[in-house]
Amino acid sequence: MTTYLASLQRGIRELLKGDDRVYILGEDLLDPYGGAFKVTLGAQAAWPDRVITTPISEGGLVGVGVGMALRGLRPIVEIMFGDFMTLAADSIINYGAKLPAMFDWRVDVPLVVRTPVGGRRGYGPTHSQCLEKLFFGVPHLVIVSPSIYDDPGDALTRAVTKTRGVVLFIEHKSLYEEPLVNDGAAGLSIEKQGRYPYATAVVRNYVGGAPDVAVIAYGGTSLMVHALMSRFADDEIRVVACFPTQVQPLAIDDILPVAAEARRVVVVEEGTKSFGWGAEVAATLQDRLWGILERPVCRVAARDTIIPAARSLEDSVLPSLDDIERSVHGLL
Amino acid sequence: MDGQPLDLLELAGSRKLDLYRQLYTIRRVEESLLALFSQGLLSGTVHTCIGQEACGVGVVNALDRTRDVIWSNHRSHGHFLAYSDDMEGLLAEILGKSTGVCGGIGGSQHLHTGAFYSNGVLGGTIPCAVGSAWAEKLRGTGAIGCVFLGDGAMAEGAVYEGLNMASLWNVPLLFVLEHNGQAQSTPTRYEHVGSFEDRVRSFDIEVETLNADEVMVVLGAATRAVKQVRRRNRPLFLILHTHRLCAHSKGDDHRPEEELQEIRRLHDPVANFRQQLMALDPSAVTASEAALETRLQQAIVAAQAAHPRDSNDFFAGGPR
Amino acid sequence: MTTFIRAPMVNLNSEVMRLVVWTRTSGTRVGKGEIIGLLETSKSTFDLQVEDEGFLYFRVDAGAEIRVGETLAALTERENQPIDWPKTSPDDDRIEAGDGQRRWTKKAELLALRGNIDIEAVTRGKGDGPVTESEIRALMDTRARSTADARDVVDDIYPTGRQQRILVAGAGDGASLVLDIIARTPHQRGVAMLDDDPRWHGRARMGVSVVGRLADLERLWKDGSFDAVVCSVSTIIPFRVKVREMCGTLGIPMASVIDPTVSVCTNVQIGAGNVILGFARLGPTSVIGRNNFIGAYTNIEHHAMVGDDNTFGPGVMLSGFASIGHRIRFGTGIFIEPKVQIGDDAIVASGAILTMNVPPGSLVRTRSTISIQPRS
Repeated sequence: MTTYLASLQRGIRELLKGDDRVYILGEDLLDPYGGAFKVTLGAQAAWPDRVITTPISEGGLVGVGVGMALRGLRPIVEIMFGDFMTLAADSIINYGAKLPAMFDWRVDVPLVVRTPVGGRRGYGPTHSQCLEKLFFGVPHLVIVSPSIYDDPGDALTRAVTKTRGVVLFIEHKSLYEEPLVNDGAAGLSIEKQGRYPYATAVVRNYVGGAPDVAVIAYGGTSLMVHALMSRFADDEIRVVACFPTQVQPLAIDDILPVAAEARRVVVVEEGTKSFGWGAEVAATLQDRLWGILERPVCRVAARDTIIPAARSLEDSVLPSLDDIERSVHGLL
Repeated sequence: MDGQPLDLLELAGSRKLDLYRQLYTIRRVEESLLALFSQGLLSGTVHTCIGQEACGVGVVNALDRTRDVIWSNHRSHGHFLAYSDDMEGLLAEILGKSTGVCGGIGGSQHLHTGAFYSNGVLGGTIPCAVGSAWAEKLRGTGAIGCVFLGDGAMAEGAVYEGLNMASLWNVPLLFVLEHNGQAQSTPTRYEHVGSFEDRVRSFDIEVETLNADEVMVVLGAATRAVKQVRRRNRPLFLILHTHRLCAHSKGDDHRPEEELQEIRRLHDPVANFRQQLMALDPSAVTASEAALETRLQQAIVAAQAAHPRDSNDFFAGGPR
Repeated sequence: MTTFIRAPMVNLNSEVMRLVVWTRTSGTRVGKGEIIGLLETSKSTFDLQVEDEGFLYFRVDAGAEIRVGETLAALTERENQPIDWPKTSPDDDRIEAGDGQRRWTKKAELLALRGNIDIEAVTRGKGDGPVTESEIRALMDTRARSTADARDVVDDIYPTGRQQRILVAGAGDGASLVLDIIARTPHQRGVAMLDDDPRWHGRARMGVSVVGRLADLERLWKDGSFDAVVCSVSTIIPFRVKVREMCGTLGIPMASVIDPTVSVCTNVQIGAGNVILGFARLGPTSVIGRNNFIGAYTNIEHHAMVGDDNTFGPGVMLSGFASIGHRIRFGTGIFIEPKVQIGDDAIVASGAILTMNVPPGSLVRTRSTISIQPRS
């Protein structure tokens, strides 16, 4: 049984081995430390010319990545904490994501920016956020976040080798040590949809017949939903859960059939509630499924405030298992 | 620095004329854009480099246009024209036509052709230039990078992140600072302390400072610098003291008229070089000018006549 | 024993509501049936009433937002008794005081709440194992099925050119309505009336005479004096039931009398013996049972079902999928929201707006906001 982290590490090794255009830049990558969350562990020692430990210059670093991608390389830039994405905002928004469109699609910028996000470790307000949210709506920027039902190593490989524009690759810290979930595990049926370049997992806790509720989530919150699936099954609550790995642009053709099937939808995210991913999903669903949905789309998200360091406070700000369960019950 | 200073007499006459043509092209295109703007035919604004033409021409002609990478900023027309000689593409681009070099989407501040890139947000171009030059080195192409920036940009943090990384990783990048003493409407003394040279040297990067009123002087310094960057795979920094003879963009120049007139009299690189070449071959000079005027007029007419970029076409755009 | 007062499901679409105000004081003694507070949803306000007597203690403050099922207050037998409040986590309903075994699944609980089924009662009647969804659904289906049995469409077959001869049971004011409709329908004609009230005997309405009492029905039938019976009484439901049962026992068909202005849509099923007054509408795929008296301008919306022996005043508006049981008396000007179920033998006061299911045997009252005083 492979973990999320092990899958990423494998993906990185395969990328470096398979394509000498792949470079990895990030802070504290020198082995044996091997990166703050160990995703590149061993890579720097094996490929010292292509795994580069950098100064603490997030904005400059991503800009360098843009320049490298423009000139024929396939760089991966690691931002140590997703909270620091703010420093790289100009490089991502006004350079990386914009150059291809602005130059009338005469250039490619195949840059992958990887970063760990999320709370629940008591790291406090500037090391616990899910700031991929700040990049929602940036045109031509692809945002990807594999759930525990997807293979993150495969997703990363696909991003680095196939992309022609900037990809934000979002990893939730809580997922690194978790085993990936296979079809049939824990009484769940897992189907992968292949409409988009990054797979969407559709998971059911029942066999045959119609679901009661659809739960839509991505990345880190897949762990919480997974924990609830068998409890819901025990309660005879039939849940179809949909986990798109492609967060932006919205994998709407994967989400729509699931929402239409259940007609009652909960969207779960760890970013703050206002103006979030759930708001986009809800708006799109009400636009496309008006008259089919039986209840308004319910959003479970972090409260619209900072994430305090004290664990008890953090738990009350971030979405909880109870919050999800209550929302599901509320729709029935 | 390596090598000997370049002498006016060492350069072949045809080569000098070619330099003059580039200077003249830039000057006339910029003046035409200002005229078109006054007639209300341009949307948006233009940042002209009138008075700074020797910087672009001098540096770009020292580079290898077939492979070297150039990053420019919002004031990029001079660099662009020196690199590509595509006045038709530039005019059509600024007039928002589908025949523009970027199909009318980028406009004045966002140009790309070959290995030339420009963007309108200051500071961010430097790390991109570092990455571009570094990629060329890592891929072993022999190409180097060159990034143009203004004195205003020397207050952006990204510049220093870029200088640090360029020096740390031995990136073959030539930094060219066009120091015109003005950042938009604000004189340099309101924005910077210390000296730019000291700042650059603190990153273990060599600096050369010179006056950019004479294109031959700039070309000489740039040729030596480019050679050194390419040979040593190390960054280098040129500070070119130049003068902006017109506004930053329209309407933000509040320097007194007498000051502007004096600057024009003493520091016009196009006029300076013209004077020197007229002494050598006046008919060649006037013939070139006449030919360029014709070409320019045709380019303006063609740009005006071309179709504006179609919106459906724009929305349908994607990686090709 | 302490009783806990929980936030009821006030309508099918509100999980959250507000406790506006407590109308009694915490710590005082309240009697059975007293109103102790006011609840408010996005659609309406609702009195909170206690079923028992006892000393009242509040758990939640006035103005608070509350969820369906949340514990609001407690009624204790003695004053100042210590109260063991239930936990407020989603688990608390699952756990029985004692062995920690849950008595029903969450799904079953939610369904029961929606269908106004007392899940506690279901667990008492069960063996072991938790109450499941399918058991609750079965209960809901049974109730629905008794009113949803397919009825025969009225099919009075008689030789062409011969009108159906109708005997009207009940000679009161309702008879005028029925005879009026018959007078305007070409295929039916009124031939006689029966009434147990001797005042009517020998009198006539619109040319149709009262010829005897209800007991005379069998004799008249055997004489071949009429083809079918309709009951014109609109206020006394037991009498309607009696008439129908008698006809059933004696094998006498009942006929529906339907005003020509009534709009009958596609795929409607109508049982025998219904009186349907002017401008009523029977929406597509609706099902009407037997022997109902349906007032003017009443709307039976699509997929709605009406049972037997009900009476409706003018202007009763059913919405889609509403389900009406048997022997229910409706006043006038009543509005019923989609999917609402009204149980047998209920009485619904005029002007009521029903957003929630009504259990059998209920009396639905409205709160009047009209005051009448002398003009000065």
